[in-house]
Amino acid sequence: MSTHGEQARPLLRVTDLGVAYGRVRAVQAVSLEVGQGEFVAVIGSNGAGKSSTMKAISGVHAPMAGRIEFDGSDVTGHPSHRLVRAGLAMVPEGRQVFAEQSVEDNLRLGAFVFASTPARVDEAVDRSFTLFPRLAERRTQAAGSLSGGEQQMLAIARGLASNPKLLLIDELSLGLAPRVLEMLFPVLESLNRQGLAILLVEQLATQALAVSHRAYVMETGNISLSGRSTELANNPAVREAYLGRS
Amino acid sequence: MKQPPILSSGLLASVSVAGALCLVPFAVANTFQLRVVMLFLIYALVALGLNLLVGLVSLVSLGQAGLYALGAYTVAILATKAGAGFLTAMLGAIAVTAIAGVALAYPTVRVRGVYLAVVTIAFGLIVQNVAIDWRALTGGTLGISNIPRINLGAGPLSTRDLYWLIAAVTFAGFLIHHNLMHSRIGRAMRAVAQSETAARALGIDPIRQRVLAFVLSSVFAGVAGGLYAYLNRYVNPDTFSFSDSIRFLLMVILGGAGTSFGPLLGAGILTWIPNLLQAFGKWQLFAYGALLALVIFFLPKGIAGSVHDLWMKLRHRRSQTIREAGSWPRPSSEIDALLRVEAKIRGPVLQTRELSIRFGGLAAVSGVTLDIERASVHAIIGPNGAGKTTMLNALSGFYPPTEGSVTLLQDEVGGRASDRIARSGLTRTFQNTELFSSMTVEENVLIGFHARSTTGFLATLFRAPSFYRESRQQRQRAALLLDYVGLSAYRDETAGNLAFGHQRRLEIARALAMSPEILLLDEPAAGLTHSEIDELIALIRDLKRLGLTVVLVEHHVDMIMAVSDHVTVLDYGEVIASGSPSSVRDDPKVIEAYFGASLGPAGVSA
Repeated sequence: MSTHGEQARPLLRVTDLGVAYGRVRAVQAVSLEVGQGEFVAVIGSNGAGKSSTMKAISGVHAPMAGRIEFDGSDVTGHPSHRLVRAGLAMVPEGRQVFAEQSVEDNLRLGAFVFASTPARVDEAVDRSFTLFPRLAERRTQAAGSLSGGEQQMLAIARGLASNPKLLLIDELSLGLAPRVLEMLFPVLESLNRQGLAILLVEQLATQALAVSHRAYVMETGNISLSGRSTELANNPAVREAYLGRS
Repeated sequence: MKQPPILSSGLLASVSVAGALCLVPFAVANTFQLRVVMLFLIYALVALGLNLLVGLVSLVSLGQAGLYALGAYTVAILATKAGAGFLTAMLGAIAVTAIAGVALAYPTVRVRGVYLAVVTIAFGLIVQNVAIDWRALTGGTLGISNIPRINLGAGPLSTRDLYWLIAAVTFAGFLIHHNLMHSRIGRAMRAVAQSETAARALGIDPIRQRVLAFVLSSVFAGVAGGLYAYLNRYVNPDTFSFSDSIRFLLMVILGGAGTSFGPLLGAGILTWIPNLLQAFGKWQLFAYGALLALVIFFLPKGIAGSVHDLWMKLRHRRSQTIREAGSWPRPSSEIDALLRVEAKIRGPVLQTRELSIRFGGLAAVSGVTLDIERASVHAIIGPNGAGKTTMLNALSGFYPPTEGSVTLLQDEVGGRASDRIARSGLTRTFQNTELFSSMTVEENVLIGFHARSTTGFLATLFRAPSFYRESRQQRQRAALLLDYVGLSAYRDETAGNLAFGHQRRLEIARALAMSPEILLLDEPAAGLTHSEIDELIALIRDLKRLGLTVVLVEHHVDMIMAVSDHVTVLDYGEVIASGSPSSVRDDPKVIEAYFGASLGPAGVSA
């Protein structure tokens, strides 16, 4: 891997990250990188610390140790709203749409960083509707009344509305029907091809490894393996633990 | 096994409070000071009662002065006009305030939070106005004077004897408050405050818990009011204003809501601080306000709550560890004995006939007929929005059927409240896991035992031997269940700190604590890895072996195929296929609606 010079500087660099909740140490010392325009996945069991890592990176839960650099500057411990302005958006675990507000309002809130330039907000909303025509059909409906799949589309569109450089997605597949996933993974791939960097935490390791360039495997608060996704998919240890035996 | 901490902390608390109360008469210089201490004890009693409301069921009352007034006036009227003795007058005060408590709890069926606070403010204002305007009974603004001294048979009590009486009553109040807080009843009340849905699914009736808390809190205020009438020997409406209600609430918040000592601390501070601040002259009120604001800002959980948090933090600073969950399920003969379900009836244990649920014009479920056999695994699948979760909500009583019937163990249960259905043997988990997230892992499981507990209210309050016996037994069973799901290492952790998948395991353990006959699992595999799903499959098979019936809403096709005996497919609220896993898998309608064209059943995971 080339790591020299200004151009190879990763978009996100996490060094020796540690996260704790009360007495539970969730993340020990995690280091990972996401390059410009790269699609990176994090897989691993429950309790391995994946979501905690994501929460620390996105500023939801302050880390107790380590350093997070985004786009060349130190953002360790910065709150989420500042990170969004810097170009790092998050699609949270369990979607977390604003259930009582309309689909369109959810998207407008996603574009809140452009609040001073209404034209850019409209543009962001239109872009979302082009990406997910299904949302356009439900524009005025309360977000809470959408099906799980539609809510996930909305959560992704809302994250994209701030025009981020890096999109963090925590558990894309949670509670979604196979047919919805069949549609969502290609959308992520196409967004990535258009230049968006993506960091995806996912339990469905097969799909995550199929769409990503590189991946990290987390175990009990540490990264146990990392490498190109195609290689990890063929790694016997990974196959045994995360891909099922079929 | 170590002694339950309930006992030692309770003993320590009561001995220290009793000791302090005994020293007071020897420490004060004159009768005036003793009267101030008595006033403090009376305020403390109101605050203790209010803490049951604020600290346990998280309801805010700004009408406590109204209840305090009801107690005081009832005693004053009974003692002066009816010539009632101390016990009769106090029993009258208890009866009147208990009824008022029920009446005040009634609005909580519909309103909470700010709205409830407004209702209680209105109550307090009404009581004060009645006291002013019903002159014939209350003496109007002049009030009622010449309330006789308490006479327990040996002549009127001296001031010092009155102190002993008030101290004894407040001490009893403290013990009841402490014992209730550290019991299954207190736990159930906190559970209701955190997740009413989950509490219902575990057979706990939230309305009952709230009414109980309101009645107790009212009676505490009423008894305090009665004692005040005897102490002051004169009552008038000025003592029971809205600002007094605020002061009672402040005592609880400042001292630390939900703690045993908080209300005592808060009452003490607010009784003496105004005197100490007299040095500030005309700035006295300003200093008072500033002090309160600063304390709440720096100690957001009140004094006792924040000190406790700090203590826990210091204690655990060095014990931060990565904990590992064990593999699960871990069957054992004890678990078998705890969970085994014997066949009680012939035929299906759960049935629906032409079940429809409509929200306004939208039919979420329409005309669904299901037969679920005992000790089987019945999966309900379908696209997102097909009505699967609505179906689970209907089966577990969270939605009443618009049409059709639900039959549980040959008993028609359509329209029955969810907590009753849970007590009849059907419980569930939730798609977005509904844990009592600020309680510990063990407490979550213990709440599962609540509905099946046999120790009564009085036995709990007064710590009868049966209380200790049952507590010990439940803790042992909770340990078994936690071991069964591999979470023993997390027993004392706050549930909300667990990883998502572990929260699911805990939710299942908590549901199993109910010893259900039928368990509904709403997407248990969501967010689990393959090896974890294999463990979940093993768990479901084990439950089936023990005679439990499992109803499963799930998207994970491999898992459905591996564990189900019967699969029902819903689309737009209707059954489009029903049968064995393999017949459903090959059904073209199901492939079209659910699996998708290119993704065969194997495509989901491979």
